[in-house]
Amino acid sequence: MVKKIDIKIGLIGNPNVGKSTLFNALTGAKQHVGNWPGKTIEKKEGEFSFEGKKIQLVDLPGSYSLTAYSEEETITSNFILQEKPDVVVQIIDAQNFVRNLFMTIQLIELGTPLVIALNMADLAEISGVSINIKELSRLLDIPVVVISARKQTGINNLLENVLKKRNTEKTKIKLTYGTEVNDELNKIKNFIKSKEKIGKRELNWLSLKLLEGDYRAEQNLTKKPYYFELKSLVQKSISHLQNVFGKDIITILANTRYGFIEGLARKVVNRKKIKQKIKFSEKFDDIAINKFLGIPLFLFIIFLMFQATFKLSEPIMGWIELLFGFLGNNVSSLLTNLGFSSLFISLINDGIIGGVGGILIFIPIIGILFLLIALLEDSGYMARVAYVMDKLMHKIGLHGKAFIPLILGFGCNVPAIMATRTLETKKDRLLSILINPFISCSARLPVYVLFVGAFFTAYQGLVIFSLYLLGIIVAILAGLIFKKFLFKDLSSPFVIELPPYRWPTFKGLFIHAWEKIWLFIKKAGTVILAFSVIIWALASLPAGVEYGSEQSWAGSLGKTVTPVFEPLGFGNWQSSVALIFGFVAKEVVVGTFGTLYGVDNIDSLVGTESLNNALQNDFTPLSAYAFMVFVLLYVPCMAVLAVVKKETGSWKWPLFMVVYTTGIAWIVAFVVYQGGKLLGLG
Amino acid sequence: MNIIEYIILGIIILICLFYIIYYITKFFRIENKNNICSRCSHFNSCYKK
Repeated sequence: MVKKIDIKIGLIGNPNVGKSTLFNALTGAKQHVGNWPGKTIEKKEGEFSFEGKKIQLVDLPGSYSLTAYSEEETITSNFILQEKPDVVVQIIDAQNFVRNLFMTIQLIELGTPLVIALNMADLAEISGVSINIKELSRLLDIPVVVISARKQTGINNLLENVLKKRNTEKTKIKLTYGTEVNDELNKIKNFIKSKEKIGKRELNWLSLKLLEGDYRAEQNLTKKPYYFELKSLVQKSISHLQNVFGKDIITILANTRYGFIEGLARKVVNRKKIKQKIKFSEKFDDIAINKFLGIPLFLFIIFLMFQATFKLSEPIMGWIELLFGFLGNNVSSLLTNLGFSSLFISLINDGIIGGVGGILIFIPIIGILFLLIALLEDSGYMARVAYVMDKLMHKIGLHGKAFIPLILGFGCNVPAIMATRTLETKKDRLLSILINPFISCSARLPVYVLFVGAFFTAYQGLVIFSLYLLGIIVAILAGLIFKKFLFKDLSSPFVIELPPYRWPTFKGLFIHAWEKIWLFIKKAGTVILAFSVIIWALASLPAGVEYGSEQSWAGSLGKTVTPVFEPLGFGNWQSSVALIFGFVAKEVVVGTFGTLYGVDNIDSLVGTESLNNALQNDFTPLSAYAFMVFVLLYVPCMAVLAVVKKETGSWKWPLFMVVYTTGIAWIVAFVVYQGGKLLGLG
Repeated sequence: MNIIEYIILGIIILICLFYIIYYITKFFRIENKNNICSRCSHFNSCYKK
């Protein structure tokens, strides 16, 4: 029998304070941890046991306050109000202690059973900030526990406090806004209480939010019969307070909160004057976020990353080739000895081994590239990239924060599009969604690797780097065009947070790379396998035709589309078929080539060479480059279109996406091929 | 190539076809469990004006 959940804990805190790291440490989950704000965009749930109790842990998106400025803040406050966790654990980054306290105040006001986990206290000590834990706990009347989510210390102590907190009263601390504000708050409370039955906790929070002018709190009440009466009462209270204090209501309330925080900080924070030696982080930031050097440094690092990927993966790919070569050579003879017919052997050799095997060879490249990308993410460098891109992003009407979903797109465009939820306006979001598919995802990488292996052996890293760069350039140019014609008035200002540099953990890096590898293997074993069989069937039918010939059904299908691609330099029918099926998942493009060129045992050295030879017969280096450009830019995969439909709530945008991505891909590939020919490169 | 082999091949192809249809349609069938807003569909109506 499944044991019932005994305790439900909400994990809450500012962005990038270590919530996901603690969540992973407690639940054993493999949620990706990134050193930038806005990593967790949805709440995530996990379970574990402690002292015989079954505990459910909910990791909430990072937010700076409980005011509904963006969607992640709404998810967090809705969770606390509607799902009523037994205890909320707020993780506070000791290095940014004062800023983190704003949310603590709101949690206290919300009446949540709260435990504070003070993370990264060791790093704060190094920079001369020490916090008097006992005093902080006494003043707030809340348990405060020092933890290190990364080193996994203090966690048992935290859980013991959580169990204790569950059965005790909430904090007795109450923030007072002064008589004037309290009087107005009481008027609102009494009015709501007279109209409906509502818990004390919700009533306090709702009244405060209404007075603050929180539009979402108000939106919840629009259908109530007393809405207009309440609205006029709230308006009257706000006007009264603004007249009395001569400031807007948000400033009046924020001043009180910050006053409380300031007083608290004076009592518990001790700042030692440490000898001001320039930290590595500051030294590196002089270059990393420099107006002139920041972007060239980013490009140089990405270039190095691709070079390293190829150099490091080469020997591992060699081992895989040998392994599969050995297996593949024996499958054919084994099947013949067992008496299988030639058609069946062709299905195994040409279809399955050709299609699926052809894709598995890229595992080392995927793994190493994502290990390096995770290193850049987790260390905090990618947040700097978003910062330096801010100016450029403003040109297209977005801010640097919108660059984060673009960087996530290097992994997969699906979570990247979901990450646009952190943007605050609908137009910001739509524009970010529309330009995201131009960012080269991991599924496109095998196509590039296949072609650079056949045509650009001396410049593999450079060619692939140029494609990634082209993706970013096209995304920015497309953004400029969309801004001019679709979204004229963008965007809200935002200050992007620069987290301190941290050494990533090996576990974190490994988890990230493994997730990508596993996804890749799963795709190879499912959808790519299924497509390989279907393409094999299309290449073998109708009965009697030569396998993979123009007369086959696959040939006929390809030939009907070929004229479209002829001006782009790849007018062979195999490319057309690969591109058609690549619409479902981009990895299928490589599998299709493997199947259609009928390469027996693609994973053996001979097999790879024969696929390369087959490609060299149908492509020139110029047309191969144009083909890669087309794969980079043309219609995103099915999963991306589905998520765009889901996130925008309409079919209009995914259909528009199919049209403009394919149109832009055609035009750019045309310019590359025809321009290259004019320059004598063809 | 005997009749049994044809049947096996036919079944394999059918399974693959069904899997592809399942794969393509599954993205559109998944409900958004972490729906941001329970009152409206995503961000269309509850974004700050």
